[in-house]
Amino acid sequence: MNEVELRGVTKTFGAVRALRGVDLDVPAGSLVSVLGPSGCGKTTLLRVIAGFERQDTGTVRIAGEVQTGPPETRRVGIVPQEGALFPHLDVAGNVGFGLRRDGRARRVAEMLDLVGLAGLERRKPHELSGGQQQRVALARALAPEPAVVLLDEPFTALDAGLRSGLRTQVLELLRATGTTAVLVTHDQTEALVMADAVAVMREGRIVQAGTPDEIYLRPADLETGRFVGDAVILPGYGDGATVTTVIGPVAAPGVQGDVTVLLRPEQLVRDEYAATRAKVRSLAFHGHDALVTIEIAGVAVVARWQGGTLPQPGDEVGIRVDGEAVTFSGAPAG
Amino acid sequence: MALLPLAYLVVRATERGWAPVRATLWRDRTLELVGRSLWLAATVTAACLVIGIGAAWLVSRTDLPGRRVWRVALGMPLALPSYVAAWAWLARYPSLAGFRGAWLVLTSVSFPYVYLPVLAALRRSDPALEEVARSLGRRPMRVFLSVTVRQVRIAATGGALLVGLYALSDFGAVSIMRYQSLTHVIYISYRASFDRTPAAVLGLVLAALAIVIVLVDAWTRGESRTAKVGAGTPRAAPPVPLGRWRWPAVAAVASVVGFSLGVPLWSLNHWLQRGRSRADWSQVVDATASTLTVSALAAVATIALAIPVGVLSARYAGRLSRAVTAAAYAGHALPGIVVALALVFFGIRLATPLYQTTSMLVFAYVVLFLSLAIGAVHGSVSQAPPELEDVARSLGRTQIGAWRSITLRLAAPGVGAGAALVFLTVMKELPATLLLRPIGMDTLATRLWSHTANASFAAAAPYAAAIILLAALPTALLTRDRT
Repeated sequence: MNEVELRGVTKTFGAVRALRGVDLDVPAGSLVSVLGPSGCGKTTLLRVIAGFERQDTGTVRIAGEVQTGPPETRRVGIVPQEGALFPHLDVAGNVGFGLRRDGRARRVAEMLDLVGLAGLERRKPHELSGGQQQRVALARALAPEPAVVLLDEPFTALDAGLRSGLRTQVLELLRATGTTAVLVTHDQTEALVMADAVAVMREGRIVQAGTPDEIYLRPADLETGRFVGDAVILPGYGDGATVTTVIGPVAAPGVQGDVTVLLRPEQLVRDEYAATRAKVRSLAFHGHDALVTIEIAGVAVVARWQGGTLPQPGDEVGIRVDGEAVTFSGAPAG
Repeated sequence: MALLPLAYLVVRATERGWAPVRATLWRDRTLELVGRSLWLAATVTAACLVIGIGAAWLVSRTDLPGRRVWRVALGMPLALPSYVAAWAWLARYPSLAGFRGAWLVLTSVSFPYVYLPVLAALRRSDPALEEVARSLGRRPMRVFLSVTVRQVRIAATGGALLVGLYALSDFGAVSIMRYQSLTHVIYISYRASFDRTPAAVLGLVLAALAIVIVLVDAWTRGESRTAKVGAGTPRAAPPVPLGRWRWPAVAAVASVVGFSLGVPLWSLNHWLQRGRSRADWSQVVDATASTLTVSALAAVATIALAIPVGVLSARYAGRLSRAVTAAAYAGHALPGIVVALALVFFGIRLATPLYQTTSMLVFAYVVLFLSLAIGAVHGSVSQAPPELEDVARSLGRTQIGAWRSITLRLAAPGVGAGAALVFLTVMKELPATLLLRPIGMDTLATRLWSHTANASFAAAAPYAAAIILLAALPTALLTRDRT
C-alpha cells in the first residue's frame, strides 16, 4: 500500500511552472528519494505534500486519504535543511513540541534514547554539534508518530566526514521505527545509497522512478544518465547485436542504426591484449580508486580503475568494454 | 497616518491663498533662517564626523590606555537630552548663548550617532583587508585612509545623516541657547501672533529641508557594498601602537567625555545643591508621574501599531509593505515641531474634542516614533527563520499558534527593546509635548523648559536630574546586550 500518493500535481508561481503534473508513489515503510538539480521543483513538491503550498490541480493522498487541509492536520513530519531547531527551547522542549502533555516526558526520553542523545535533554540547540542538531530534528519529527517524514536535504550543511555516518544512523532509525520517508536531495550518492526507490526530477516533472540500480544502469534518458553518475558518452552504430564505437564494439542486443552510447567509467576495463589502444592523459586519485582520463583516437573519455597499479600520464594501455551499453536513438548533440 | 500631518500643514499654509505664503517665503528673514539652520546642521555634522570616527578608531584599533572604559563612556551622551545639556551649559556659562552654545551642545550630545555605528563597523570589518593592503606595499597612514575609512564609510554617512537631521530639527537646545534657527522661530511665531500662516509656511520649509537631506543621502549611498566570501568571524585586529601620541590621545578622548558628560553633570550637581531647599518636590513627583504615564501609553500604542507593519515588511516583501514602511519612516524624518504644529491645526479644526487631550499627544508620539518601533520589530522578526513556523505547523500547531509560540516568542526581546526605545525617546521629547500637552499637565521636560525660560536655573535642576535618572534606566536596558 502507498502511504503517500500524488497524482497529476501541478503548481505555478506566477510565470514559473514549478510542478508540471507529478505522480509519486511512496510505499508504506519505504524511503523514496526525490533526486534533482536545484530549481527542479523538489522543494515545492515537499511543501505541497506537507500542506505549506496548495497544488493548483491534482491530488495528494496520505494514508489513503485525500489531503486538502492545513499542515497541522496532515500528520507529516519535516526535517528541514539545517535542522531548524527552535532556538529558545532546549532539546527536550524541541522533541516534545508536537506531543500532548500526558506522556510527553516518557516519549521524549524514548526518542532521545532512540537517536542516541539520552542525557542531553537540557541542552540548548547552540550547545549541540551539527550532527546532534540533525538527530534532535529527526527525533522531533518522529515523536508524534507521523504517517510520513519529509527530509529536505538534511545532510547538506554537514561536513563530508560526518555526513556518511549520519546517513547510516538515520537510515537505521527510519527502518527500526518502520517510518515512511521522502528524502529530497541533489546529491546522487545520497539518493542511491539511502533510498529504496529514487524518483529523478527535472523541470517540474518526475522523469524516471525506480530502484537505485535501475536508475544508475538503465537511465530513461541521456540527461538522467549523466546526472546520476559519471558517464562516458559516445556516438555509435548498431547492427542488432553490438554497437560500434571508437572504443570498439560494445554489446547492445537489438540496437539498430545511429545511436548515442552511454557507458559508466567502471565499464572501461584495462586489458593488455585488447585491440583498442588508449593514451593516459591525467589521473584524479581518490585512494580506493582513480578517475583516469584516457584518449582513444582523439576522443577523451574517463575510466574508473582501482588504486594500486595505476598507469602514469603518457602511458599506453589496452581498453575493453565490460557489460552492455545503454543506448539512446540519434547521434549525440554537439 | 504618518503622512497626514504634512498634508494638513500644506492645507493650513495655503488656505488664505498663495499671497501670504509668498510673502513669508520671499522675506530676507526666511532665507536667513534657512541659512542659519543649515549652517548649524553642517558644522555640527562635520564636528561629529571627526569626533565620532576618530574616537571609534582610537578605542577599537589602538592601544589607548583605558580604552574599555572610554568605549562605554563615549556612547553615554546619547542618553542626555539636548535641552538638558543646553540648560546645564547655559546655567554655568551664560555667555555661551547663541551659535557657539548651540553648536557645542548639539555636537556634544549627537556625536555618538556617528561613533556607535562606526565602532560597530570597525569591530565587524576584517583586519585581513588592511593586512593585504600593507603586503601590497601601502604605508600605514594610506592604508587607514584608503581601506579603513572606506570600510566604515557607509556606517559613518548613515550616522552623519542622523546627526544632520537631529541638528536641523532640534528645538530644545537651540531655543535655550537662543539661537535663531528655523525651529526656534517657528515656535515663537506660533506663540506670538494670531496669524499662524507664517508658522505653517516655515514648518513646511523645515520639512522640505529634512526631506531633501534624506533624499540626497539615499541618492549618494549608491551601489557600494562590501563583498565577503564565506561566513567566518574576522579575527580581532592587533592594536596599533600610539607611541608618543598615547597621552595626547587620552587627553582628546577625555575632553570629549568631559564636554559631553562631565560639564553637564557638574553643573547639574551645582544647581541641585543650591536649589534643593527651595524645590517644590510635589510638583516634581507630579511631573514624573505624568511623564511616565504618557511615555508608557505612547510606547504601548506605538508598538501595537508597529507589530503588524514590522511583521508585514519582514515576512512579505511586497509593494504594499514597502509603501507602508516608507510612510512610517517619512514620519521620523519630520522634525517634532512640524508634526506638533500640524496636529495643533488639525486638532483645532477637525478634531476639536481631541485637541489638547492625552490621546492627541500620544498620537503625535506615535507619528514621530513609529519608525523606531517598526525598525525594532522588523529586525527581530526577520531574524526568526520562517522555516521554524513550518516545522511548528507540521507538528500540529495552527498558523496563529505557530506564530505565537515561535516567531513572536523569538522576536519578544527585540520588540521589548523597541518599546524601551520609544519609551526613552518620548520621555525626552520636548516640542510636541510643549504644543500638544493637555492644559494643566506638565511633564519633566516642559517644567525644565519653563523654568529655564524664566532663567530660574536652580528651580529647573530637580527636573533635569529626574530626566537623566529616568533616561538612564531604559538606556542601560538597551545597551546591556550590545556590550
